[in-house]
Amino acid sequence: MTRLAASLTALALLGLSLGCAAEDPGEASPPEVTGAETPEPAAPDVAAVYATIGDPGPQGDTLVAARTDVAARVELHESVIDDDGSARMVELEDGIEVAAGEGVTLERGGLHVMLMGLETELAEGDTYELTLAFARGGEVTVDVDVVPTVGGHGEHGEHGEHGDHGDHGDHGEHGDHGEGEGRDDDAG
Amino acid sequence: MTTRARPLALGLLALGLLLLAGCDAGATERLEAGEDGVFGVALEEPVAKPDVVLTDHHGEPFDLRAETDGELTLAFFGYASCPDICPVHMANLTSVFDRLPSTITDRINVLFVTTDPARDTPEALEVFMGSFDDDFVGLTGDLDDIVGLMTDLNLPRPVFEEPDDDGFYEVGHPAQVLAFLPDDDHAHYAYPWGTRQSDFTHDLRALVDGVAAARD
Repeated sequence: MTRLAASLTALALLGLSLGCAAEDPGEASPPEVTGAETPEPAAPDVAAVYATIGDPGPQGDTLVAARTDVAARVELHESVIDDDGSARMVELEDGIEVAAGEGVTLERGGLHVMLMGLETELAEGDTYELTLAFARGGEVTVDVDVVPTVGGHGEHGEHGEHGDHGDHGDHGEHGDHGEGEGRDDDAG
Repeated sequence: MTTRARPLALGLLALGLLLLAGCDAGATERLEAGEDGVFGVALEEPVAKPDVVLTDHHGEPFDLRAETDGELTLAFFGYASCPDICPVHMANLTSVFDRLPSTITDRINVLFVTTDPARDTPEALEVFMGSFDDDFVGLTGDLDDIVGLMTDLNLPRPVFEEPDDDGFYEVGHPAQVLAFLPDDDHAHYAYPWGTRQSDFTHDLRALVDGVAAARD
């Protein structure tokens, strides 16, 4: 083999190995998304999506965008309460950080995906697809359950936690999602 | 109405609650019952129910004092195009109402006053209120009247964000629910975002006959 051919071969192998590194699932798979749900909207034009985003791995990740066919626009939001007691929503243009080793929870009164300009009526029991785009892990499409407006398990019931998400099993998607049924948290 | 606005006091209250909540608006608020046995956060100074006439979600005039005279009345200020805090507050209160007997709930008013009357017409509010307890009342009116009402109640004013390209805008609104007592038709307690349903349920039972009865 000539010196030139050897160099070309080395370059080709280098290129192959770099290509493989970029496609390594360990480096580039999106975090697991579970329990994606939307309370049946009370208003016809807007809706919120809550979900649990799992551990993205040691390097962390960022949810940078979301899209769905059911809404004209989708933004990443956080509800905040200012010092004067005023509640407002902030659009997170830099995305939502998914902490290494932890993940992040999108929940009522906090981080959420906001759908604006609903193009499909969302009723309790419906399911629709939402695609989440992560800076490092790429995209994942999950099924979002439309749950009751009242009585959802994210309400501030006695237990007030977001655990106990059921599993619908294999929908052929990356994300499993939680049961949409309400839970009577409070014996009153 | 002569009550002086005390935004600083409410601001400090809100700040304190925020610190208590660990700055996590989604946290479930664990309120401590005060000396009076009530979980709601006692206002430093009770505030008289303002004298204002609004329009309910059926399009009928709603004289606040006349309609709620001598009855436990909860008031929340928000808007229908708010997807997160507003419907969750109303859903929580609906769940609380579901757990109380009608002998109690029939004597309690729950009012959802819009901070966005331009979009929240009676018709829009009727759609929104349709998701919650049938007895809850959605109220709209002139923005000036609503801002005046909020100012009288020492609440932060609505904050209108710039409309986006589609004309959609968001509105900052108070996060808490105010409770007016039957004794004197004054607001005595605030319930911050995240108040647990069990705490609401306890307090509504206790306060439906007035704060004097709650102390017994």
